[in-house]
Formats: sequence, C-alpha cells, structure tokens
Amino acid sequence: MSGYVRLRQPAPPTEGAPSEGEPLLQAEDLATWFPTGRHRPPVRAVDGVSLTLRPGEALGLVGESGCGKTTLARSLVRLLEPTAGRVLFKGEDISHHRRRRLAAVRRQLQIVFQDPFASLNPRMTAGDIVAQPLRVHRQYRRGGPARVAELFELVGLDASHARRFPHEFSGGQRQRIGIARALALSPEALVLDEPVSSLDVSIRAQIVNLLDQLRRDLGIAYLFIAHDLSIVRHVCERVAVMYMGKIVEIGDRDAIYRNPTHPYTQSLLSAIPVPDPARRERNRIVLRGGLPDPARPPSGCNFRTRCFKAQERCAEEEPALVDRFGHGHPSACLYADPAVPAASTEPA
Amino acid sequence: MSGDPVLSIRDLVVRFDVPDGTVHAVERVSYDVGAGETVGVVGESGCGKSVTVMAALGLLPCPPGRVVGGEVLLEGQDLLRLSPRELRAVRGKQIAMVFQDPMTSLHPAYTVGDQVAEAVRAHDAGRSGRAAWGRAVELLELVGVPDADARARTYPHQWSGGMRQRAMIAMAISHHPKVLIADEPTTALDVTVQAQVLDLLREVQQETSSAIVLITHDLGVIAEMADRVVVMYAGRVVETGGTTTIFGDARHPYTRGLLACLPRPELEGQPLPAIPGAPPNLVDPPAGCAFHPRCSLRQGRARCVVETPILADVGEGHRAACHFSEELARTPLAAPPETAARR
Repeated sequence: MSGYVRLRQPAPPTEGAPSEGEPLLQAEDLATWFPTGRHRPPVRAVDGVSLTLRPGEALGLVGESGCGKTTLARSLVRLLEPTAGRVLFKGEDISHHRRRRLAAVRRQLQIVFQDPFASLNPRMTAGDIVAQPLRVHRQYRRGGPARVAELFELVGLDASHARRFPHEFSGGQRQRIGIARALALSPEALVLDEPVSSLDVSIRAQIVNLLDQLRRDLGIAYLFIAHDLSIVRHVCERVAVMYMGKIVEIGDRDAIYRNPTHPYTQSLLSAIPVPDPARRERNRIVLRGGLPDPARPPSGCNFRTRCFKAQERCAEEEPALVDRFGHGHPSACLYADPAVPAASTEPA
Repeated sequence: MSGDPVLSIRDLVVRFDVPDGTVHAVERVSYDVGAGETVGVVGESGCGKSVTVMAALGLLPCPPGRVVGGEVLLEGQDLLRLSPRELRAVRGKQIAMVFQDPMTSLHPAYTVGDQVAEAVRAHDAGRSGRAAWGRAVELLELVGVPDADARARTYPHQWSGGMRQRAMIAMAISHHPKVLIADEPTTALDVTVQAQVLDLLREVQQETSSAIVLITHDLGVIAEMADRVVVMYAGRVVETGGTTTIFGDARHPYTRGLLACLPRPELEGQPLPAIPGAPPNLVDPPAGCAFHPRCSLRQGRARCVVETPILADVGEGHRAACHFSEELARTPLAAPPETAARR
C-alpha cells in the first residue's frame, strides 16, 4: 500500500537534506503569550520551550489541560504567531514566513486535530475533505481522484464512502478522515493534537495501531500530544512533559516512565488509575490543589505550589531544564531525584 | 454484597423514538447495589449506562425517551411508580447524582454557596436561609474546598473544574443519600485532579456508608474504586462480577477485548489487540448477540446470530451473557491471536 505513496513523495531537496539525526522540526526558546486585558498580565501559554523532532521519530508531549500543549502545537505549525523565539523546519527559520514560503513548509508539516466532529466541514463530503489539501496546493489535477481513493484505503476507510458527509461516519472513522487529509501531501512530519482522546476505548486502540503502522510504512515523524500517558508510552520513543508553558522533563520513553526525576512527572505517573485491582493499595502521590492562574505564575519554580518537595529555594530560583544525572535526560527541578517514590511510578 | 440491596434495577427497558425508528437504548438491564458498596458500570458511549440511571431517577426526557418496562427498587419502593412530586422528594434526598460535566451543572449566575444552600433547603424547607448557608459552608469544607466561607460567595466561573466537582459532590451528599450515582465524575478532569476527586468519593462513602454507582468508561477508575463491576454493551449487561474476577477471569469476549486493548508496557512495539469494528446502531441492532459482528470467539457459529444470550451464572457471583463463555475459562486473559492481527 505504500508503493504509490513513496512515488508521490516530493523529491528530496538536493541541498541541505537532513541526514538521519539532523532535526526536522525545532523550537528554540519559543513563547506564545495571550493578552488578557489592558491592565492584566498576559497568559504565558508557552513560555520558553526548546525541543527537537528528528526525522521519523515519535515524540510525545504530555501534560494536563491548560499546560500549553495545544498552543505549542499550533505555534509550531504557525497556526498561531509565536510571541518570541524561533521555529525551524529542516534548519530553516520559518517563524516569519508568509504565504508562499509558508505553504511550501506546510506541504511537509501537517496537523491532525483533536475533535473529529469540529475539525471536518459538515457541508463537504469526505472525499472533498481529503482532496482539499491537494486542491489548495495545486496537485489535484494530476491524479487527484486516484490519490484520494488511495488515501482512503491507507487509513482503512472504504473508498466508496467518499461521497458521504462527516455526520454519516462514526467518531473513529472521522478521525481516519482527518488523518487521511493530513497525509494527502505526503508530509514528513505530523503534529497530532490529542488524536485519540475523544474516542471510545475499543476504537482508540484501532487508531493507535493505524498511526503506528503509518509511521512505520511512511517514515513520518510525529509530535504526538496526549494527556493519556499509557498511550504515549505505546506510541512514542521520546517523551516531553509540560507544566504551565514549560517543559519540565524530557527523555527517552524508558527514562521518563521508569526513572522520572521531576516531581511533577512522578506524581502524574502515580496518579494514573491502573486497570489492575490488585494494585489498588499502591503508594500514590496525590497532588494538592489545581493549576495556579497562568497569568500570575508563582515565582521561581512554577510547580512549587503543588510540589511535595518544595523548599524555600524553589520560590527564589527558576530551575533550568538540564541533564542533572548525566543520563541525557534533562529535568527542570532543583531537587530532581530518580530514586524518590520508586514503586509507585510505574503506570501499568 | 451482604443483605438486601439498597438499589435494585430489575429488567429495565428504555426506548427512544427517533425519526429513523426506535432506539433500543436499554434492554432488560438489571443490577443491584448494597449499602456501602461501590458498583462500577463500564461500557462505551451509547451502551446505555447513563440512560439506565437517568431513567431510574425519572430524569429522562419523555418524549423521545420511553420507559417500557422493569422496576427500580429503592429499599423495596418502585421509583418508576412514583408521581413526579413523590419522586422529587426522593431524588436529592435518598438518592443523589453527580454528573460528568461540572462546567454545565452549576448555574453561572448564582454563587456556589447559594446553590449548595438551595440543595440543603430543597428537602429541609424548615431550615432558615442562614442555617442553610452555614450548612453549605460546612459541606464545602467537608469536601475539601479551602477557605470555604469566602469561596462560597464566589461564582462557578471562579472555580476550577476539580473544585466545581467537589461542590457537586457537596450538594449530592447534603442529605446523606442512601445511594450516590456518579456519572463519569472525573472524565472532564485531569489525572492529578481525578485522583483527588476519587479519594474524596472514597472518604464520603466511609463517612456516610452510601451505596455508590460509578459510571465510567475508564477501566483504570473501575479497578481503583469498584467492589463489583457491571459491563454493558449495546444496551445490555453482558457481564457482571467482583472486580478482581472481572479483571482476572472475564468470561465475555467483549470484556476481554476491552481489557486487552489497553496499552501496557509488554505490548511496546506491537499492535494493540483492538476490537475490530464499531458499536452497533441501536435502531437496528444485530440479530442474536449484539456483539457477534465484532466477536473473536464466534468463529462463524450460527447460534450467535440467532439466539440472544442471557446473563447466566459462570461462577460465584459472576454472570456472563455469552453462549460460549466456558471456552474462555481456560484461555489466558490476552486476546485470541486473530483479533491482535487486525487493525
């Protein structure tokens, strides 16, 4: 099924083609703030994020609602204008690209949205929705209908349903349409913003498998945003944990899930309900309270108001995201410690 | 479960009349809840888990909904036979409900304290406004709202999701209900806040020894909270049993499928054993067993298409609605290989 897709992939640029480890998508000190009124401080939805997505890898981005995951995703694909910092695609700064140059980047960098009900135009047929990127980028005339049929097949939809409207599909099928649309231009990177959160358990597994399969077959890189840590663990090789607009810990899957060092990551992992009644009595960390007002973040470390380790120093000093143990696994906590609540952190 | 159940739902049948026909939303659903017990009801959206309790409490919009048959016994009294007025006296007092969405279940134009106080006075009209307010603040303190006296004077939009859900729980427990029904109480919340709300429900239960019906699609939440589990699919109960039994020795292929498709570390790098297909349209449910088009156990057998399986005993307090459930008795919990291969 991937043969035709490979043929249709844009010829690799002769110069500056990224080698295996060279970054595909990079954020450098990226910040996106939202104004909240004339006399109020802005909400710092994304506040100084640096991260790198390498070709073909799946990077997970986890955190609670309101932590800035979606704002970061939208800033990376330039659906939102960053307030400060840079976004680089294949080493090229795209933060100030307009129209044609931005369109060229978007052919290679696509996004799948969370809500398969809101992200599909109810007045367009499924076939037209999937064909839309081809039309916009003037690729429809050359074999458009065949490409649409192929995309339907690629995501496990019946090509004969192309004339149906979104409301005639189930949630899982709608998400497949959204994925087909994102794949239409054979992108090299996909930003997936909570692609399975709104789906039922049995359907969720189908879409997770589809995404896994597509990545293997097409070699696309994923920035996979989710609040469900067990799904991120299944899909992603690397994981970044976000809290109040900042990345607090980033590392390989095993480093994050087996040896989390930031108290937020540790409590997040321990709070996940485990589908095993025998482990009910495990030692859990239950955080106090909820997120502070994002327009008035606490001084020093953002997390200190809910942290079980907070000291006076945490209010004075903002911890940097640095590799504190030489594991290649940076963590933004002054008292980062892989050893702390050991037995309770394994999520499932 | 010890002694008589506090709440007993018997053969409840609910239908919805829609332009396309009749939705068979709930088909002869029965389950019991005992005092101090937590029963988890699990299933996917549209399986009838919420409609069952809405119908039981007389909260179903009729039309299009219709309660066609069955009874809902609260300590022996059939709630379905009560007049609206009699039912209002029961609801909120003997049986209370916490809804999924704490954003829309509070009135935006009244302070949270007023709304909790209203719940207090609803079944205690003799209490003065001032006394009701005092009780409201007390309840908010009980559910862990910090600085409750001042927070009670603020409006819902000034409250976070987790705090709003605490306020909903405060209202629900204001009259020490015998049964507390929580419909997806933590689905709209983040995991760290979910952990707080689940802890609170446990504490409330210890304090009041209410029976809790916990409706959720999250098997993790069920495993953490429930004493017994009711699994629903396409408007029917397909399996019921003790939590440990259901998680360790499920005898319905749907329950097995739900458990198997959860990501877990051993499955890294492998496809998840997903259940193929999607839940059926309940206007025209499949003949025989509603799960047969997605079932890995059916293997082409005609009986599944012809005969609807009844919920039959498969062990101590463990019932499953599958013609071939005994075949699962000897197989390990992991899904049969043919489902694992599909996506």
